[in-house]
Amino acid sequence: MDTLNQLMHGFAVAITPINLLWALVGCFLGTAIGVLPGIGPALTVAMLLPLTTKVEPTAALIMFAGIYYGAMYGGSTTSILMNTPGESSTMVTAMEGNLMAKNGRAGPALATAAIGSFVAGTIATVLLSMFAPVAADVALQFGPGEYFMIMLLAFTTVSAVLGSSLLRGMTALFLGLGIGLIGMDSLSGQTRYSMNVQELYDGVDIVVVAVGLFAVGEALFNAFFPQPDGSFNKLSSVHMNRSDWKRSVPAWIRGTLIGFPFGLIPAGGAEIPTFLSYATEKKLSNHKEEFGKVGAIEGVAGPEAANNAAVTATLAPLLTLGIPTSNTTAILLAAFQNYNLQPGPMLFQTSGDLVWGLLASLYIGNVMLLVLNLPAIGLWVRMLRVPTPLLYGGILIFAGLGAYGIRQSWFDLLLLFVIGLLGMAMRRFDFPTAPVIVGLILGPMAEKQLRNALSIGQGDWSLFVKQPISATILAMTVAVVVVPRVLRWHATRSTSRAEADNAA
Amino acid sequence: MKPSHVCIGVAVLALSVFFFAGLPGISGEEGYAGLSPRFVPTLVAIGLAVCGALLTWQGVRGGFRNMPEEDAELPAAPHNFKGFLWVAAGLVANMALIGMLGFVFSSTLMMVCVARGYGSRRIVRDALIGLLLTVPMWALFDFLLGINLPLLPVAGF
Repeated sequence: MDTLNQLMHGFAVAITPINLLWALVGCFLGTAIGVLPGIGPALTVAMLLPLTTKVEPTAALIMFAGIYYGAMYGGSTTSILMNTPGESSTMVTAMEGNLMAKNGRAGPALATAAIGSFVAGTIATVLLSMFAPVAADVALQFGPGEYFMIMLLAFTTVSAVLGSSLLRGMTALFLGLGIGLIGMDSLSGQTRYSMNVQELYDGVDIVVVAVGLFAVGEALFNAFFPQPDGSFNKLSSVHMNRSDWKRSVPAWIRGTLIGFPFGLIPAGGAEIPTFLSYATEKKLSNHKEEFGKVGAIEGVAGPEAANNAAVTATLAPLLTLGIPTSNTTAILLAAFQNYNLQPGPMLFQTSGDLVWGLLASLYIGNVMLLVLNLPAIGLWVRMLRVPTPLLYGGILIFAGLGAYGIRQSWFDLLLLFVIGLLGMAMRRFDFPTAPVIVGLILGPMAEKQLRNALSIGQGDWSLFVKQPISATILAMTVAVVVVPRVLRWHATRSTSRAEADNAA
Repeated sequence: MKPSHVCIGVAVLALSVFFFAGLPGISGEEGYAGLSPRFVPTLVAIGLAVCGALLTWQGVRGGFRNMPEEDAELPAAPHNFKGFLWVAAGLVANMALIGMLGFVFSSTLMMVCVARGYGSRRIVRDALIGLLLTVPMWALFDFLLGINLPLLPVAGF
């Protein structure tokens, strides 16, 4: 009951007019950037980080969270109406949803995606508010050794599970760790790899790296390799008929149950659960003939729910352990740090108002997003028609402002450009970007924890395997490399096998 | 052998050399932990060296493994070096001029260059839209956030 009380208290915080307004702004912005190709939530939050100097922490974080999951709602609109999935987690939605739209069923596809996101988001938020305090209590017993092990787990999952190649993931991770080394060492106070450039003494700002990799890299890449214009599907009435409902509801529930655990375990993003959900729906459907042909509504409902549940669940490791497992949560961590708040078990005690207000705002935000996305769908569709030259010009203006706004130095714009070139090359050669961000932000933290742990243990490395908790996490680290590989192999195999069945 | 992939591998190797080269400048004092500030840099340098070597090897042996299909065909896809140059020029111009022209005007100039890189020829429209974005942002930073972005530093504003 304690949890319920605290949640009620959180609602009292979240429901104040000013916080409601910030939540609405966040949801609105989030949907807009989700709809627009080329910008994602990580980038948007990164560009809005200067807000942290003026806005009070609860309000800012409520808005940032709104942007985060709002982008997931908006992303499905783009993948259904145009066949250009914005990110890998909406790839599955693009497959079935786009087929449905081509056959004049864009409306029901959008509706099932939006309502499914709402259902999954709400269930996942309930689970999150139930489990997060428990997890935080457990995490209170963690020492530096356990934290180091968890960070090791995060490094491994982000670089080994995400993306198509372990080698390229590891390269990106070491790159991020390397960038994180630049600047002052937090324990000894000496500068490393700053090449006597004064601007580098403080290290490379996370915003510059994130904006450079995502926005500038994307803009350079798309100018170099012009993408064919996506074809447009016509919008139809967003009304779902009885059979649509009957087929969607179980798919939403199953998708949520598949997605949520994947967000929790730092398995790096929502890509795997969406594919798993798709494979499940296909196997269970009574309308197998529609998959891959005219588009099956379960194939949109399930993966969309899985996607949203996973995204909500990624807030759990961030809030309870202070460990980001995706690009956006990494930037959210930076936002916390701007306020001198360290997410982790202590946060539930020291800033209860903030945490519970944030959790309560997730419930409210999901309702707002449902309203924003169904009746107001026409507005977002119009946004898809922004001409590409203006879109990228605008993105780069905001990117430049985000980097320049930090300390008004042209040097940050130089870094932005160089990192943009790097981002373009990484995009071109299929290197994942999340490990760079996670390595950059967690690297210095992990180094500190490792040195603290060894100081306490007087240099004895065996403490990591002797203590049960850290040994368990170490075992999980190994499992996390192996298990998803097997799962993904299984999921893609059943997907491709079913495709072969359809073709036959 | 894929020359572009080999280049990437060599670039990663070069990075690892950079991190190795910086090691002597970092104190090796170990303290209680038995770990000096040099430990993680050494790890990163070794990691990059291993990854770079493997990438180079894969590049020599026919290219990186597990590449997505669309990317494998990219070199054959139409590419537009001029467009890339315009966007890059816009970014560099913004960097060089922002101290002189201020955020509003140098970003608008960047907008025009970037739009040109994406095939737009309507300079006036692009510039107007640029101003439409930058002026409110400038006002927001200046008045609401209290971050002072000079409007036209070269003229003393």
